[in-house]
Amino acid sequence: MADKTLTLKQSRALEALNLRLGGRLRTHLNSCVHCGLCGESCHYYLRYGDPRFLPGNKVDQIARLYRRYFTPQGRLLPGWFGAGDLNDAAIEEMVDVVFGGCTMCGRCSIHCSIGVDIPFLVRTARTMLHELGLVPEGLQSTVNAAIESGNNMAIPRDEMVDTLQWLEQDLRMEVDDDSAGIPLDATGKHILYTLNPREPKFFPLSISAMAKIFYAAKESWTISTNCYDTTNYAYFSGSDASARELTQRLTGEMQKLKAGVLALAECGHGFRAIRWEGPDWLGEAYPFPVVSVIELMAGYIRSGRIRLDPGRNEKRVTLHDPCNLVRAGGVIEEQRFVLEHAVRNFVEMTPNRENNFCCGGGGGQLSMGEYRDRRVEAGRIKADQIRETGAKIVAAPCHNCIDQLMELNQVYELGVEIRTLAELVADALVLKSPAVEGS
Amino acid sequence: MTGPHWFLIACFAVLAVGTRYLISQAFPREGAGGLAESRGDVPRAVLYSLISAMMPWKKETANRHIVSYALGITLHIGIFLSFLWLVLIFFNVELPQALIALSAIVLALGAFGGLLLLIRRLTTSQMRYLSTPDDYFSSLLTTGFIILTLMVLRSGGLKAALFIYAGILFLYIPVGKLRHAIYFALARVYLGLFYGRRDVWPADGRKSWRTRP
Repeated sequence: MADKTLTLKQSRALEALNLRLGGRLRTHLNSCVHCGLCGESCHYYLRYGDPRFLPGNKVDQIARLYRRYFTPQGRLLPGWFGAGDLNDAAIEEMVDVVFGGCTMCGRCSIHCSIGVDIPFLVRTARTMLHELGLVPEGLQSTVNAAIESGNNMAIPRDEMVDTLQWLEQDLRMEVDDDSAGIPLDATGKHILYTLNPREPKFFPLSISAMAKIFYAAKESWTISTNCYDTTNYAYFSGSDASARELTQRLTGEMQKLKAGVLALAECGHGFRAIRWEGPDWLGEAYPFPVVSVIELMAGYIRSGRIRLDPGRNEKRVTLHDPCNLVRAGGVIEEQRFVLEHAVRNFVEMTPNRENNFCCGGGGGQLSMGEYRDRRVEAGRIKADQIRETGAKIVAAPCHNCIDQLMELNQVYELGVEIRTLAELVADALVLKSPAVEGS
Repeated sequence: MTGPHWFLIACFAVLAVGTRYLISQAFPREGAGGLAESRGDVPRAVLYSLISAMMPWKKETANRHIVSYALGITLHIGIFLSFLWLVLIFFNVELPQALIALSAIVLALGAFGGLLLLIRRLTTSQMRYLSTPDDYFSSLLTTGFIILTLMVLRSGGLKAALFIYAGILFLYIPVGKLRHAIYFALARVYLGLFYGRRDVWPADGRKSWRTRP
């Protein structure tokens, strides 16, 4: 692999690839047959028709380097075997394609003729670009904020505490019970609840909604004011070291507060990163369960811990399936079960579940302003899906998706409300017993 | 045994060694699916990945490109049948004329599929963008293999040419795009592990939801 034409950073990027060359990576790097049938699975290709956005070309961003530096045939006959040097032109295309033209949504893998795990390869390509110091600035600064301040929006702890205390007062008034609360930094609780920092910053009502549900379910829970961030943008930037650091903080907080279950807010990539990728970054399984609040809500409904009146949500509701929660997270039926109990008129988008289209906001796109126009154009497919349902409300169990859907709502004039699942459930909650209600 | 026989045997030995090496590097080791606690039925998911998920009604790449999909299937049937006939011809196995005639039809369809897919690769701009010389050569090599097998079946001659051609094909499999023949099943297994542990597959019977108390 030694090549005197490479810079130190380029050598480090190739070494990062070399270190990850296990069976899974080798298999997927060697499997693409360039059949070209994958284009229509990708929202970027569908909108632009640009062959650079073909998932097969995304595979080649890294496979051509693998062939050039790690296979004898690629070294001997690079032109014949589609091997390519890690040079400035290749790097420029790589940045544009794997950061600017892919949300790592995985829809192409589900439909790939062979079964190539394309987001896995794109994530590995991003790791190489991270070694080259070429992560787009907005995305890297989001990771830096999380590492340096403890949350990706750099919210000071005092501000967070103020917000939560204010929400607690509101909750007490709403449920007319002074014992209702948002327990902060309490030890020995069953659940440690984490948040997407967008919630305290921009969408505090989604915290209120979840607090109301916990209150109704008589749950033993707490929020840490030191370490509460569900997100892990290092998953998107490709930095395993930062991803590990952020995961370690959460596991450390679980141990410090002696909580039983780590419950993750409605955040698609956060769920994927913590629930599924985190143990691999740490090198060991968690000693505690990790669940999405959607699973918790479904459990409360099924066990009768909360009662819902769907008549309180009369408008037609459709559901957006966040890719990282659904296709890469496996939380698929729970949200449907919740909505069937919480709203009167639920209608599916087409396609849905593991075949859903990405809204365009995944892969860290919302933090990369330079690709904003592309993100909104690629999101047109989701906008059309929403319009076809005739729904007035879109339930979106992911705060990144919510941000993107709100922008699509404005740009494509959809005239819908975008809400979290918890907000819909909280609106449908029946807090008093039937006897009291009837009196 | 003639020279072409020995050539074919030698090339097959190289293919076997090469395949064994590539598989040993790619085979799933313990923990290949990740360290997170599984929530799905992994064996069923792997089976689903290998069979059900490949069906055209499950795959957009198939049902949105049904002609290309059908051509691909006929090409691959043609290739597999050619390999089967290579073994039969090598060992001088005599088969009924009806079976030979039926095989000839299937091989002709396979060759037709291969040629049309090659034309598609040459004439579609997005395919040209993706394709490397290796892709074109691999298509030609496999389609040529089917055609040569067909010619041997029809004429009864050209056996030495078939053995030499097949030997070259064997040598090329591990190095070129044809190595997907070695990696295909592994890719499906890895994908089955990934989606199975997360309970995304099998899509028609997700364990965590089905078995929840």
